[in-house]
Amino acid sequence: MAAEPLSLRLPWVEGSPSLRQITDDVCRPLATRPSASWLACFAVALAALGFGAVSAGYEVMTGIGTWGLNRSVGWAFDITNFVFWIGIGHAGTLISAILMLFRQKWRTSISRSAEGMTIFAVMCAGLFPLIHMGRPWFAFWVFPYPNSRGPLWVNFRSPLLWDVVAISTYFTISFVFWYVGMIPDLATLRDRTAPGLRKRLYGLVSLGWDGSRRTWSRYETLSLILAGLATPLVVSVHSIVSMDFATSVIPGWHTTLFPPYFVAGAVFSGFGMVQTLLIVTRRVMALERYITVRHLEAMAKILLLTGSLVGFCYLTELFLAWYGGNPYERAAFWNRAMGPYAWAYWTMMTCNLFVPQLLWWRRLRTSVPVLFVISLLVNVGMWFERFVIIVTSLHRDFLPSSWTMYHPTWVEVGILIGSFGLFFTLFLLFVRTLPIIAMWEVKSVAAGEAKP
Amino acid sequence: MSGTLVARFAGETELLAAVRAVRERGFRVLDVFTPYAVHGLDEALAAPRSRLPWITLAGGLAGLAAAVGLQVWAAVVDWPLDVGGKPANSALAFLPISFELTILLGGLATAGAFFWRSGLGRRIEPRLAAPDVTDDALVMVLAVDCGEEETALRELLSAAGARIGEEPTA
Repeated sequence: MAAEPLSLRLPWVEGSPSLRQITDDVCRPLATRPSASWLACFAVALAALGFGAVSAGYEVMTGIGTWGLNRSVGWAFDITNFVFWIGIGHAGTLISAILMLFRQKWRTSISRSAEGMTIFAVMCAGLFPLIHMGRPWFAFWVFPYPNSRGPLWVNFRSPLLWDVVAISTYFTISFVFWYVGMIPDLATLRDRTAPGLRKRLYGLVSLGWDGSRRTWSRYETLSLILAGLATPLVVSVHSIVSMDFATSVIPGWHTTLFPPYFVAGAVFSGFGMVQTLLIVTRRVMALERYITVRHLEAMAKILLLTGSLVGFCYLTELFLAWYGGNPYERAAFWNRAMGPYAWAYWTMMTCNLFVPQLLWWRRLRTSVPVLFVISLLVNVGMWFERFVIIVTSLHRDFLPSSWTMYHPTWVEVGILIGSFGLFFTLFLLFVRTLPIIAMWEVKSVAAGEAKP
Repeated sequence: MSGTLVARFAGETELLAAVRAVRERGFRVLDVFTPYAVHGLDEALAAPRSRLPWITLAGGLAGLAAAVGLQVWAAVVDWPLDVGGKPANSALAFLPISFELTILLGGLATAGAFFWRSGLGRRIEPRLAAPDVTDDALVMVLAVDCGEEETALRELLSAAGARIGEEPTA
């Protein structure tokens, strides 16, 4: 008896669209006029960006004294935002590189927008150390170049310099990966756009792609190599960021747990942001067929896993503070949980450790409104995690006479708002000008699913 | 007189079967154009493996050598600085930057070699085998001599489910 082979796997693309249908669905929003809701969002994002530019301009012209920093708390809002944005970026690389190596087909619908998010988040992150320098026009001093001061070289033993190299590399490789991945889709846009400026621009950036088998073959090799390179890179970047803290002797920072703890936190926060963005985007751009609830559920499972990992790290830290017997360490953690910043600590604990546990229930995991709220809470929680790590470890020094509190000023808050403005401005421009779904990859998945 | 024949296929299953069939009969496939990477095509055409990984290795080693060389030279030879009593050649601290530059140069070299070998950017307005080849057309381009051979090839392709177009225009 020749029975039909029964596929137990549900399709990742709903309604088995034809190849042409996929092209149309992804490209259609790019050819229409921007909707009123897009314009409204864009106006808000631009206003936030403008406010940030004014705040940063005021800070650069006046000095770092416009911030709430003091002798005990020398790092606070600015570095919190830097670590927050760098972390956001990590989900994009995880989706595009690590899931590619594991041949996870569900990644194809979300990889393009997640990678775009990575690029924009790393841009936002890079701004903060730049602004923190106070004199950003000397930023090139952090690079080892032959100079007239000796030449005096940068300190290659400093984790801050490692950071410079790691983040420049991360941005460059992510950008190359993103752009290379987009070339076939840019060619698709070139071939369906009416002659004019837009067509010429798409033609220029698609570099004369013609879909030849020879090029595809090399292209697949290149993608695999870039994925293989980006995978250890993404782990190294946040490990190095964590060493900015872990190599110091401050109680609450000085721990070998930091690299894995930061990497897990970065992936967690990044998936929170991807979830937030995609839940809105799929609705506004009518892409529910490609970014299905199953995709959201798969991301929710990663949120649950990484959230639990982060929570495990919180508890390990607490346990070791007690079990390690170091009175300063113990005091630092007691102060975190019970001191004047306890509200921030418990916000972090609630959003990162307890809330994601709701995702054990399939009903909640497949409910879009619930996922949206949880993803927002994850973003908030992960911002507070960095704030708690940085500020609570610093504000009560070894010397009780130096104990103080830190409060941000409007300038610092303004720059944070500005970074969100920059992020959303870039993301909104991205969804209007570039294909936000990797059409060629989705076509490959859809063709595979259509096979008998 | 020899010419080219353009055959369009509805799906990758038909395309792969046709590629195998025409190669078995000794016809020459010039190239295949598809809107996405069709897996199994390289095997069906017995195409050689890409040598790009060697470029990655070379680029990565160059990055590693540059990073180790610069750090050790600057910190040991050119201007040894006492930072917290550490030895001048505190090699372990040079590891992160060496790693990052290995990745950076390895990745950039591979991408550069890909662009160069594929001729991307050399001709901005490509000759497309079919206008919708970046949309949904799977196209095989064959070299063929006119006459009996062409008739046989046309029959073979039609049997494989292809629609035969004219030579690529422009």
